[in-house]
Amino acid sequence: MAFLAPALLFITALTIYPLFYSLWASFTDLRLTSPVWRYVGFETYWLSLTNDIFRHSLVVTAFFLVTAVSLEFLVGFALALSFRQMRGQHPIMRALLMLPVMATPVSVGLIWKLMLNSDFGIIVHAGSVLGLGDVHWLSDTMMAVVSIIVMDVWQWTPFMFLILLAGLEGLPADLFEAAEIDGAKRRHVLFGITLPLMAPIIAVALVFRLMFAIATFDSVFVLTKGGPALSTDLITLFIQREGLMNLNVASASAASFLVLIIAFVVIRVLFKKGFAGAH
Amino acid sequence: MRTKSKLGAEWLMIAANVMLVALFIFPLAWMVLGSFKSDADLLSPSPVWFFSPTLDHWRFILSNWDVERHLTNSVIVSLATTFLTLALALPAAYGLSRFPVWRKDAITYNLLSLKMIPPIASIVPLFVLLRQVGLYDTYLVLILLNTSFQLPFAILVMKSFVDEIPREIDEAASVDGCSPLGVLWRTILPLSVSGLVCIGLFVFIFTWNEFLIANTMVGGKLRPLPPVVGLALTHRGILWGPALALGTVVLVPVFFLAFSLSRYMARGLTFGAVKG
Repeated sequence: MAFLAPALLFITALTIYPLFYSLWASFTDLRLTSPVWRYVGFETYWLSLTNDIFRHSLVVTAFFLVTAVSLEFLVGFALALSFRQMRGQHPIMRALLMLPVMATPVSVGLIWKLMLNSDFGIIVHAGSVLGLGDVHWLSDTMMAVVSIIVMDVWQWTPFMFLILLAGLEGLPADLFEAAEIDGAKRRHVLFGITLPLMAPIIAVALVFRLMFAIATFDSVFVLTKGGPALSTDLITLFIQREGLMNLNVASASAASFLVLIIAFVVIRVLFKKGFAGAH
Repeated sequence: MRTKSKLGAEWLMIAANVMLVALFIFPLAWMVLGSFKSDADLLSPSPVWFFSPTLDHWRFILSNWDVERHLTNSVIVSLATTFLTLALALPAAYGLSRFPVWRKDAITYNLLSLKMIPPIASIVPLFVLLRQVGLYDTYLVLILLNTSFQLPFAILVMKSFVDEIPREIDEAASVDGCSPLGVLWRTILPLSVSGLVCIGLFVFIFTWNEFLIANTMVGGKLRPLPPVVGLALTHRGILWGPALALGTVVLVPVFFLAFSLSRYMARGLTFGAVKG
């Protein structure tokens, strides 16, 4: 226990304490602009839940998470399966694929802001060459959502790929040899052997991806700043604006707690299913 | 006949995958290339592939945006965070791995849960707290906060490395009269070097990339690089050339470090859950 004490003290002071502070603040009407505050019970929560901007932000976040993470999973899994088809390890290709994952998120936002720029962006140019006409990636409310999803899929598909590939490599080879000798169809191998055996690893990959995805902030802040017209206003951008721009600590704290509760429930369900199996 | 078509399929697969990898790398390369283009080439409506490189934007950020200062800030904060995190994480991982700790599973599980909290949720209270104790706008606040954010990750991955060291080794050392602290110092530490290097590199990159704390807790001269990039992009008229050069400065060290880490990527990114 003595060995754990310094680290746990550190975490308590700088992570647990702020959590309790924000739990307390969520039951007050605290604003940084005024020294006076009082307890208001659940009023701040009620105000958040009935606030159209907050609810809109939850919807945007849910849509972003579900779409981006599913796409990342599907593409990442396909890529991992195709890497398994090749002989050899191809370590350089794997290392290169990890660069988007580790890349600084503000730079990622910058890159996509450059490529999607309506005046000189290369993707807009490619679109008009392919006959798609002028696509307003960042100024159209629908396309802006597509833009942040495209950016996220680019950055995080390699993460899914890597985890799932590590999982595929750990599967017992004799099962697949037996299936091949028996003349099993590819489709049957995939759904009958690969997917069931991969279930725990898939859950781990989804849990970790969701965990990071809920916190997505920097890249979207740089790319769209939540706009146009709040169309890409992820919950993290909402909290940042409430807390640090409007200095409404109570509202930001209540929003944070509502997000925390949702995140915990979703991740716990996946966690219980997968993580226990992976260990 | 069959083997021949199989060989062809294999080559086709390799070619397709090389193309895909190129597609993933292209955006990064496009930014780096852009930082060496003249404004006319950079802002041309149809992309310019061949151009005579210029260092104008690089000279601009060196003389106008004080890049050396912010680069130094980034290096100081990331290095200090890395060492502090490792110094706290190794003993904690050793404790969790070797001793009957009260509610061990709950601690391990809760460490992971802590990472589920989006940093934005704790940034507002931290901002209020740290203003009160007068730590606002110091290197120390960046180092302490980054360390607390990285510790759960570092402890869990470190535990997965310490678990791999055979217990017989530390039992032998304690039979020879080593105290638990002595075992940690004399046997666990030297045997954990690869783990420490791996986790250290991860923590360095994560801290280097960190934007939210850096953007909120310090201003002006003490800013690390990411908030400077953020600032350059949220102005009205974006100076694209210099912004791309700055984005490149931030990314280059990450690339070299990430490349040397590729073997540990799966383990690190799942906090030790996948051995890869």
